Amino acid sequence: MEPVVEIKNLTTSYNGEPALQDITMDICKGEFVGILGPNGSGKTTLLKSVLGLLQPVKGEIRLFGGPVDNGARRRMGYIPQKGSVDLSFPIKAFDAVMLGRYPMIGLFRFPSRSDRQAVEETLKGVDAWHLKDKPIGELSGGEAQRIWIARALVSKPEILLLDEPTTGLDVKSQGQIIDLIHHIHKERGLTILYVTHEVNNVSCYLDKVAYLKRNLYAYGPPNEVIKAETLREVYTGEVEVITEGGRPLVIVGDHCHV
Amino acid sequence: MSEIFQYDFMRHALLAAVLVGGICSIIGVYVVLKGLSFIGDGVAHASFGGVVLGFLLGINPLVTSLLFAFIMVSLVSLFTGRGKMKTDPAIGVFFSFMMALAILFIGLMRSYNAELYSYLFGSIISVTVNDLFIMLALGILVLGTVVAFFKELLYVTFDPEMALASGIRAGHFNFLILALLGLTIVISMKSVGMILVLALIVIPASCAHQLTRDIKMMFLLSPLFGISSSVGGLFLSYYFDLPSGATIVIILTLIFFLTAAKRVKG
Repeated sequence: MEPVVEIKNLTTSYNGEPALQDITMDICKGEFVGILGPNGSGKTTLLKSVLGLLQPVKGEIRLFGGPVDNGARRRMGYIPQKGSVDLSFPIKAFDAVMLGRYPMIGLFRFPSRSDRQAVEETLKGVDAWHLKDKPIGELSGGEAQRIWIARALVSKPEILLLDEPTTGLDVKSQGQIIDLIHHIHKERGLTILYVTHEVNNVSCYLDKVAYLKRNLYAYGPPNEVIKAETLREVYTGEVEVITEGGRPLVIVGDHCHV
Repeated sequence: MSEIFQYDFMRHALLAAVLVGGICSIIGVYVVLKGLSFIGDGVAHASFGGVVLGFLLGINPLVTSLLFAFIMVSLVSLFTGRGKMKTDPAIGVFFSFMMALAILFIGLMRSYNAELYSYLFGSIISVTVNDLFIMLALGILVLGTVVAFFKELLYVTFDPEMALASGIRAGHFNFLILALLGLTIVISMKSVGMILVLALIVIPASCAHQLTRDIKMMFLLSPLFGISSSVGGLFLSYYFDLPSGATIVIILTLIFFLTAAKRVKG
């Protein structure tokens, strides 16, 4: 399969601190890749490097076989970590999703009927059409996450990058968002880079898992990578992995001794 | 009511109130949403330093104040770029420096210059036809830019990182907002004064923000508050012989309290 994201010997620093060291990994078209690791392990840095928001110190990233340029950026959709926007900003859900169309509309032009149709279809596709007239500040955590997913999808990207989309949501909303992402992956055949802390909820959907802690500790199919030895090394704590129904389940902390 | 328009200076002042009230309150929407009040205040003080230098050297103060506004923005950008320093202290440092320069230049002048005080406290009734044309040109520029780049400016104001990630040149548009803010301050300073110009930029947009959660409505409401209070303040100051700039700002603040009482949730 052809790689759409090629990361070669990537080394980056964030505010002068080394963040990622010598990362080499390929992500193939249509793969759903989970990026895991403790806080400050460089997961977000990896996404920002792929988006070209951070320049590598060493090494390179190639997207769709070419450099990280504006053309490549427009083929990607990004859902940043919660808390990156001002929720008191005067914008309604519909207009917030329309933002995702702006790069395609071009300078000096206004959204056309087809842009509005694209927003409508996308909002309906994530089951959020009923929220269209709500100001973003009035949305619940799960509702807001649907709007940001719609904003990323409305430009019909080929790669979707999600940064902890379920953090801070209640269990029901977490499940709904994960189901939605799984559905999008199956239906549209998108390549997905999914940064998360919570591997058990998604491991059955993931094609590959990457464990990061500045270096890339392991990268491969969940069954091969989610191993107690790897996790103890990455998280430096008590970790146990049990297999249930053919998929690995990670148990962290003192629960292991039950 | 009509006797007030017998005088040229009052007709000019009225036009100036409409123009300055409108322009400041439109650019103010970005200032309020992006949190640019402090840099705005810094630019106002820097521009005043430029005005004093203009008088000192016998150069058109418009030229020197624009130059100083540009230096202020450049210094702050230089020291805050790529996470080197927080914006707030950087503005604090150069804000004081620019004000020190202004005071130094006043000290060097050795003679009292009354016109200088109109830049400090504002004197809307001394606006000339020439000033009005400059304001009109600025108004067209600001309104034209807001309309032409509405999408890009909205995205960059709301979520600069996402704008950048989707291929919009966020840095260019951020600079455009600062450049328009600088121009607005420099050109409005003569009529409302360095001390009060920021009020005309920040308060109307803040009132609008209390009442709506739709940015397009903010762009309608903000100039409505800006223009009505400027014109209202001008009339009041004429009939009760009050300083016009202060009257305008007090009316604006009263409107702010009223809108805050009615504020929308969210």
